[in-house]
Amino acid sequence: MNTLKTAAASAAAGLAIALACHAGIAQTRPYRIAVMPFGLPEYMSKWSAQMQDHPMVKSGKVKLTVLDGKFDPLVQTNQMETVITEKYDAVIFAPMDFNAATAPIAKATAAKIPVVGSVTRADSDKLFAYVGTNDVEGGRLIAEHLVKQLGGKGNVVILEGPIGNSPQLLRQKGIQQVLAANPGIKVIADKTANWSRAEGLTVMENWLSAYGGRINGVIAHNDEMALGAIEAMKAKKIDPKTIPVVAIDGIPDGQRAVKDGNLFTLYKDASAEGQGAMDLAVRAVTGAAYKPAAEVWSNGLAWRDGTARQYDVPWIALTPDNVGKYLR
Amino acid sequence: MTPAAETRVLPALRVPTGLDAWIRAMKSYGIVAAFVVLCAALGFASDAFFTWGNWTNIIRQTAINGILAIGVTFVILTKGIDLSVGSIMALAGAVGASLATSANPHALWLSVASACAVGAGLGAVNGLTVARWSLPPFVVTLGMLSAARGITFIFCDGRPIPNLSESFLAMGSGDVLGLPMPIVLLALTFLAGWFTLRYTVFGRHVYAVGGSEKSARTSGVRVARVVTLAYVISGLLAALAGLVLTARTTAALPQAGVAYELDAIAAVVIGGTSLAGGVGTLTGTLFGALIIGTINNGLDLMGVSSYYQQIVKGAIIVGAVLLDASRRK
Repeated sequence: MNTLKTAAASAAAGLAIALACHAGIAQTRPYRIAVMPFGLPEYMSKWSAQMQDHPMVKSGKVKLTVLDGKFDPLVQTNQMETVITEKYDAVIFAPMDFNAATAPIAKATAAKIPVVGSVTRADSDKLFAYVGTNDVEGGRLIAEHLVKQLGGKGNVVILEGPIGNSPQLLRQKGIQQVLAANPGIKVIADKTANWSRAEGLTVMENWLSAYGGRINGVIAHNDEMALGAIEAMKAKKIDPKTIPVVAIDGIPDGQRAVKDGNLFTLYKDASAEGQGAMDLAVRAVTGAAYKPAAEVWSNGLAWRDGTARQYDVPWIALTPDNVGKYLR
Repeated sequence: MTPAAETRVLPALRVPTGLDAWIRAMKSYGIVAAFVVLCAALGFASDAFFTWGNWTNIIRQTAINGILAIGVTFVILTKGIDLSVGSIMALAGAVGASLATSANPHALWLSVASACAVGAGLGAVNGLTVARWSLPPFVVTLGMLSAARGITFIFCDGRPIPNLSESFLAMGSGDVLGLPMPIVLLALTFLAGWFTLRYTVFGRHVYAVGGSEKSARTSGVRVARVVTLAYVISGLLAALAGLVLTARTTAALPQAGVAYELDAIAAVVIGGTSLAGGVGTLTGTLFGALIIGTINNGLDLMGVSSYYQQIVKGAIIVGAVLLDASRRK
């Protein structure tokens, strides 16, 4: 009898879910676009949320399905197979791993489903287009800023993203380019903190214990890790202004740190990356007549008829003077 | 002579006659009924659910967790647990991949054999530590989870191993007579495991040790050997799952398989195997894995947020354990 009860309960639950889903079906056939973020940390949640705000989605012409990759390349591979079986019209893909993304993209394009890349890069030449900030450029900009702040001489430590994640690979490339050109700057420690504030804090604490006053500057691949490093300094009663920290993302907490004078960071425009990708996906499905709707096309990024393979969303350097414009 | 635990093993398949027999059958095969009901509900919610393509996806996507769960079933049947399978997957996959890159190519059998050797070897370490020193399996395999993960990162130098040979990748994307390779491997693993548990002396001893170690020992069962072998099987199947995982993601990633042991244990528990040992079947485990895979697929198709999916999974696991607990009263 217990088993029958369980069976009945799961049937009831299943039917409830089914009815809830059938309740809102549109009458005309909208374009079905799958959005595949590698995970849903704060930035990626904002990125997907911006897409939900896109005029084509709000008017119902595009039906979005967000498939959370849960930071696992295998999950993304599985989800891409589901997308292909389900015959979605287009995919917007932010892969977890640069190498693991090649096969899913190839399968999708072989099934005539255009794939637009965004935020993270893939080792593939089959993308319809890629829209995202140029991470190599980003790494260069923050490293150059730190070098200038330190007057070309000093010891720095680097907090990296998860190894193999494309922003980590590319930002580090830009950073190394600048460091190679500035021999007065020495890297005394370099470790991954996996995009995490908590890990950044722990790693920085250990470095402060190991290297004491020898650390002159901190380069972090993202704001979260930088904020962890700043917390570590505060915990050891070190004024964060004495050890300049540079990072990338411009998340709200990062913006607050910029306002306090503790951080230099680059603003990553989730709206530009998200809605820009949406425009390109719709362009891929509907053709050349489509007029893009995102703000960024009239504000620093050229549409080029939607045919370019790569769109570099411009970085915005955040300083105490201009951060007020973005701080919410 | 016959251990008491054997009578609690799933009865042989017979056509039930009379209401009592039907109720008993439902209790034994309740997991299958629950699965059928779940599929019916999801099929109603989404047109795409009952297509051949979608079902191939579900089973292919379940294969890795299924293979892992089959191995873990052996361990749980002996009243143990294996938390290290996720880490062993990653290490075995990395070792196999390192012998199959375009820069360092070797015969496929060598890649597979070395991966399996790593898995079986680490499993043996787990098993011997549990059996000979009577340390709690939870603690031993927790230590292995950590250590094996560390070894994986060192082995890979913290970086992915890409550019794998075609023959290696075929383990993930190839097919045999039209069936995807992961599904074929899952089927073979299931058949081998099912045969072992039901028809070999070792299989009976596994149930005996889990049911009552003392009785088993006095009956002449070599408990230490049985327990060690159970962990070796778990490690070996983790290695196989690791090879399929690496082939599917086309690169060995040092952070692969993190937390996969939880889904494997969930599949075993949902399938009716008792964490107290001595009771359970591989058929149950298989359906447990299918239920998890189906939920992941079905809820994705319906666009349900992954946060709600996790709640659903948690509820089902607790529900399954409650059902098991009430059944034994």
